[in-house]
This record gives sequence, structure tokens and C-alpha cells, in this order.
Amino acid sequence: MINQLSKAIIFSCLSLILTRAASQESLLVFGGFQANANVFLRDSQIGAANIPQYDYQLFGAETWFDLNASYAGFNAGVRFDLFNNSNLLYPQGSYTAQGIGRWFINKEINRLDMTVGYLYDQIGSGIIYRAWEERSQLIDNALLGASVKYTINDNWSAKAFTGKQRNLFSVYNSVIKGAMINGFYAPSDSSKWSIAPGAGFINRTFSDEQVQDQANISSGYLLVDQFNPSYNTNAFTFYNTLNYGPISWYAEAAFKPSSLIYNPLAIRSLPKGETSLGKYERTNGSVFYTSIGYAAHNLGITLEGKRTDGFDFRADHRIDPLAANRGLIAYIPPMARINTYRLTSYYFPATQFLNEMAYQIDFKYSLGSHWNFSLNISDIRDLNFDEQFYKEINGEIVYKQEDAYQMSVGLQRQEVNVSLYFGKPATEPKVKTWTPYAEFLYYFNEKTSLRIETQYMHNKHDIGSWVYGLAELGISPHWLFELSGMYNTYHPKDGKKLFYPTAGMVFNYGNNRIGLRYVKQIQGIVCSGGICRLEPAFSGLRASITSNF
Amino acid sequence: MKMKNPLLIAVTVILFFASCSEWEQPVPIPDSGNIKSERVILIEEFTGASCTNCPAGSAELKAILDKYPDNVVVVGLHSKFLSAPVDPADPNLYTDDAENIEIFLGRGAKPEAAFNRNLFTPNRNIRISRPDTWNNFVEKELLATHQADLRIAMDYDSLSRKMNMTLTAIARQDIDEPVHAHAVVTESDISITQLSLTGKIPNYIQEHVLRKALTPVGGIKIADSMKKGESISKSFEFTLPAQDNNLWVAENCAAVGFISLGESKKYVLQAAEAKLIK
Repeated sequence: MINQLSKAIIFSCLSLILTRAASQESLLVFGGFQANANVFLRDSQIGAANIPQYDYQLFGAETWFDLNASYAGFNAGVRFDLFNNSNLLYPQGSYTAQGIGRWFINKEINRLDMTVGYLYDQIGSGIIYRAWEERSQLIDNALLGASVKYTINDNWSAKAFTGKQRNLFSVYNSVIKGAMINGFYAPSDSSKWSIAPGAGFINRTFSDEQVQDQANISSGYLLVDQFNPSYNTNAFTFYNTLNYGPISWYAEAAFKPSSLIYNPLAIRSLPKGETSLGKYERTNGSVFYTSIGYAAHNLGITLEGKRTDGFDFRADHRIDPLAANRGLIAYIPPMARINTYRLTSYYFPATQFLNEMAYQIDFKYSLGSHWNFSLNISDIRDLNFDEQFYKEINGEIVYKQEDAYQMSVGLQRQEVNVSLYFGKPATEPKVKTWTPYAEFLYYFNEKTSLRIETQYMHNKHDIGSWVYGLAELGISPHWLFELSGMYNTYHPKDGKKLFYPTAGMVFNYGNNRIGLRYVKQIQGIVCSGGICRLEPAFSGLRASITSNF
Repeated sequence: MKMKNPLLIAVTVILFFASCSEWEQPVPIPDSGNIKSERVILIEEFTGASCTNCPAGSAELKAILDKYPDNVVVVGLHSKFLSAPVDPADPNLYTDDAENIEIFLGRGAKPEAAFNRNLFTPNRNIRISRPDTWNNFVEKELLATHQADLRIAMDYDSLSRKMNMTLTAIARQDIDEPVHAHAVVTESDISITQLSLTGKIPNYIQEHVLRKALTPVGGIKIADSMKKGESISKSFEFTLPAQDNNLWVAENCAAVGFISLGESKKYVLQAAEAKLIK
């Protein structure tokens, strides 16, 4: 029904725009194409087996095609999504579907900016509301609805929107409404300081079906654990950025009074005195987040702090544990360094929605034009700051000789509560790793470069110790060749020492990028902005095409 | 002044709307556990010895069985995922039959359970996670239309260890679709070491473990359709393997039968269970 309506609206709008474009002035058309294709080669030794793709489907693919147009103050776009035997939605399953993934139409009339269709947006840093897309995890929280923004004056604007959150090619039943106001104030143009305050509000109204389901679940609980279902949940937030010379200070306080959450660690009573873990409960939620940055004289310092209490906010109360990142209304910023190397990024702390107190310090210092030093410390604990969930210290030195070579060396220390982040038993010891790493990038000439990176992760528990090496030859402007390998030097449990090779090439031509890789990859966590999920081991060929026009 | 007005208005409006959930009328919570029905629901529990959250699922099923002892039949499926024995000396409860059912119903997490193989919500899974919600699905099925009865007759010879199970399906209304019969053997009281969120649990008792499927996952077709009052019987024979490593203890085994709408619809109409030795 939604897709039929979508097609009719898109056809009408594009026809209107194209008809008018033919008779009038210039039409701007732009977009992009992205395709991934996987050939699954079964390898039961590394655990790449027992899902339909390895067992009998053998091939999976995903494609997105965006087409956007601007004309006479109108902006419109449409996106086609395709998934064929894809493991993006469920890493252990197979998903096949296709259709219109997004459409929107936007028009500004005087001070009023109106948009209908699938909307991406956020309030503040996203803590009470963020509609976003992350293709690597098939997250697409676009709001199918309408949005109106009114520009009050040069410094102030207000926005209101309503709709339903996208759920693949359907929508969740709950209705989401929101409003925000954003401003800016400086005493004068030459003032040393300015502020950018804002406030936002979100309301989620569950459908009759959702509330009835909650009532039925509550009725199955013993009286002591029963909760009262309700249709409406509100969340509101206040935020401000203060700029004073080289200092920038962002602060946000968000609240979600008396809302229903699922607490997987709450103890629920069963008949005959038995208990079980996990239940719905009604609680107040809050998040306090702040970030202070200083940047001047070759020195950059950022301090971040965050306190999260009971702030799981979703479009549906039923969370699929295999796709736990779907249906999120709230986005809570992560509090750990985003690492890029293979072994330094293996352990990453997924954002905890219910119970987290964290801080992060990031120093950067440049010495002359050649040397860069950086140090990052992050510490994530429970609300009382007693139990440590995650700790990371990362120091890095970069030496750069312009147009000749660049060298980086670093050392990372991590302490990870794997029972919290990886679902291991509570008796599993905390993982403590030391990971030294180095990277060398050498320019043979203007066209040819070689990048070599190596890492070693020393780890007595969980997946054990690993060594990783990569060589990447770049021949600009078209070619990039990659060869890498990862080897398990020590395994604390079954003693298996396996080699995971990868070989690949990338061809760039104009706005097209075509990649082909043979990959063997261990099971791990894939994260994007603190939103993480478990990815099973992979064995096979990966092809990708990205193109912009 | 220019700055203050919009922000003050916005804050006032936000705080006003933030209190609107207090305006709501309370939603009544229905009674649970009082449903009278002659339906017998098949619950297929996806579990495993290495699954830390699975004891919570099994505890939930015990509570459901206590609440509806005559209306529920449980089959524990130890498919490959998280089924490896924690203690190498323990029996491995994995069976290819459990794995085939996992493939048939769709891969997922553990613990999960299927209730009459019903797809309750389109675009979701037949398998339901979150044990605290399972009672809800049992009660939904108990309230659904009772289309057929199923009787089970058991004959077991302890000397030859041969069992003969006869299933008799009786339509309570016209069923205009093919009806399939399924038969499996389960075993309870199997002591193993189980992983849990708090560590290893020694001497953990696994109940209702699927030991052998006597029919394919889609069942065996017994009728293209059934008229109200019509009954169809189907017998299944099986010889229990010799007792080994505390497995295949006849006293702990049960025969489970159920009838369904076949491979495409999967939906289970009625289940029945009988112990091999009463």
C-alpha cells in the first residue's frame, strides 16, 4: 500500500518537474549508485557455515540507487533499494526484498521550508531523536511523514515534524511527533563569545495493537512485576554550544519521564519462587552529555563526558535481538575512540542505553610541520562509576615528510568487559590487550605509493593474540592493490591457529569506484557511531561499485 | 530580548507537552492463566548447552507448563548454534533433526521459541525471542480457532525397545487444505553442564530434548482436506537405540505428535504427547 502510494507520488512529482523543465530553465539532477555483491565460500573451520548463503544460496547482493533533482525551488529525490539473499539485515540469515526505499519532496516558500516523504533529521546531538541511515548495518530510521521549518529571523528557526519510522519496506505502527528550536546569539559581530542554544521535544504514540501487546505481556508477569502500558511517551532536551575564543563547549540534557523499557538484567519472578532475567519496566530516563574543545597554537584538547540512565527509546517495544539496532528513535553519542586499524578496532564498546557513565579525553599536538602527537583516554563504567565496562588508552606519533613518506607508530591498551559487550558468561575474565601498531606510507613518485601497516594484539583471553599485516600499492589515478593477512598466534581455548588472508583491488575511473576482494575474516563486532552488532565470520568474494553523478 | 523570546516560548511549550502522558486513561491489564481451551499448543524451544541466556527460556517454559499443563507440549531443539557441550564428558544433545527444523523455521538467536509455527506478525520471524513474552503467544494460540483434535495412542515393548505411536486427527470444522502429521521422540531428565549468565551450572537438567524425528520437517500428508467430524489415523514405529551415556533412557522418553497445514503454511493445528512408559 505504502509502495503503491509512493510510486504514484513520485511519478506525479517527477512528471511535473520534468514537464516544466522541458519548457523552462535548467534542471539539476544528481545522485549515486552503490552495489555490494558477496560470493559465499563455505569454510566451517572459521565458522563461515550454517547460514543459507554458505549452505545453498552462495550469492548475496545489495543495491541502492539515488536520484535527486532540483528545479525552481523544488527539491525531490527517490531511492531504489534491492536486497537479494543479503546477510546485512540478519548476519545469520537471508533477506530478499526490493522497492522504493526513499522518496521526498521539498519546497521553500518565503520563510517556510516544507518537506514530505522519508525524512532524515536530528535534534541536538540526536539523543532524543535522530533519523539516519547506516548501510553497513542496514539501519534506516527515516521518518515517513511531513516536516515544516520556519525561519524566524537570521538567528532563529523552529521546526516541527510528524510521521512513522521506516521499518524496511514498511513502517512501524507508532506515530512520532517532534519539534525543535535552534538559535544563535552573539553580542556583536566582533564579540569573542557566542552561544547557539536549542531545545527539542519528541512524542511517540503507540498503536492500539502495540499497547494491547504490552498489556498481554504484562498480564503474563506475576503481580509484583506487572507494568502499566501507556500510549504516549515524551522526551525533551535542552542544549547549547558556547564559543569563547579557541574554546567550544557543547552541553545537552535530555529527559524521558516514565517510559517503558526492556531491561535485560532485571530479575523477574516466576511461580514457585523461581526467577528469570529480563523484563519490561517503567522508568524515568535521562542523558547528560557534554564536550569541551580547545584548539589553538598546534594544540587540540577535547574532553567529553556522558551519563545515561534508562534511555532506550524505540518505535516499537519489541526488539529483535538479531537486529537490535532497528527501530531506534534515540541516538546516544559513543564515548570511545573510533579506531581504524584491524586489530585496534576489534573490540569496541557499543553504547549502553540503560546504564553508563563515561568520559573521554583527546589530546593532539603538532611539533613543527613534521611531527604530530596524540593521546586518547576513554573510560566507561556503570552509573555509580564502580564497575568498569571499558577502558582504552591510545598513544600515537606521526612523522610526515611532505610528498616523500609518512610514518605512524602507536600503542593501544584496552580493558573490555566481554560479558557485557559480547554476551559472554559473567565468569569470563575481562579482556586486557596491548596492541602496538605501525604504518608506513611511501611515495615512489607522484603516481605510485606503497602503504604498509602492521599490528600485534597481545591478549590472554577470548580470541587470543593476533598479528596483522597489510601492503597496499596505489597507482593513481586508477588502481589500488591490497594484500593482507591475520594470524592467530595464541588461542587460549581450542588452540586453533588459523591464517585469514585477504587480497583485493580497486579501480577508480572518474566518479566510479569498482572493488573486488577475496576475504577471510574472523567473527567480530561492526560498529557505527557506537551502534554495534555481531558479525559472523566471512569467507568469500566481495565486489562493490560506488558511483556518483 | 531578541534571543530570549523564542527560547522561552519553546521551553514553556515543551514543558507543557512533556506532561501530556499524564492525561492518558489507564490501560486495563487482562487476566492471565484463566483461559479454558481444549487446544494443545506445540512449543519448539531453540536452546543449547552453551547458550548463556537459555536457562531463562527454560524457566519460562516451566512456568507456562505449570499454568497450562494440559494445553502445552514442549520440544527442545538443540540445533548447531550454541549446542556444543560445555563439559567434554557430557552427552552432545545436538541432532541433525533439530538442525533441519531450525533451517525450516528460519535461523535466529537463542533462546527463542515457535508457537504452533505461527507467524504472528508479518515481516517478522516464526521464532520468538524474549522469554518474558512467551506466555502472551501461548494465550493467543489458546484463544485461536480450534480446528482439529489429535489423539495419541502409545504402545511400547521394553524388551525390544520398540514403540508404536498412532495419531488420530479429528476435524472439528471443515479444513480445506492438506493436513500433515508429524511424529518425534523427546527425552527429559538429561543432566549436563549448562552455561548461564552467572557461569557454568553443573547437573543442569535438560527437559523435552528432541532425540529423533520420525517424519520430515514438513510432516507426512494424511489428507488433502478434512470434513467436520472426519478422523484419520496414522501410525509410526521406532526402535529406541541402546541406552548410552545416560541417553535413550526409555522411562524419560516421550512421543510427541502434531498435525499441521504442511510445508508452505507450517501452521500447527494441534499437538499431543504420551510418555513411552507411564
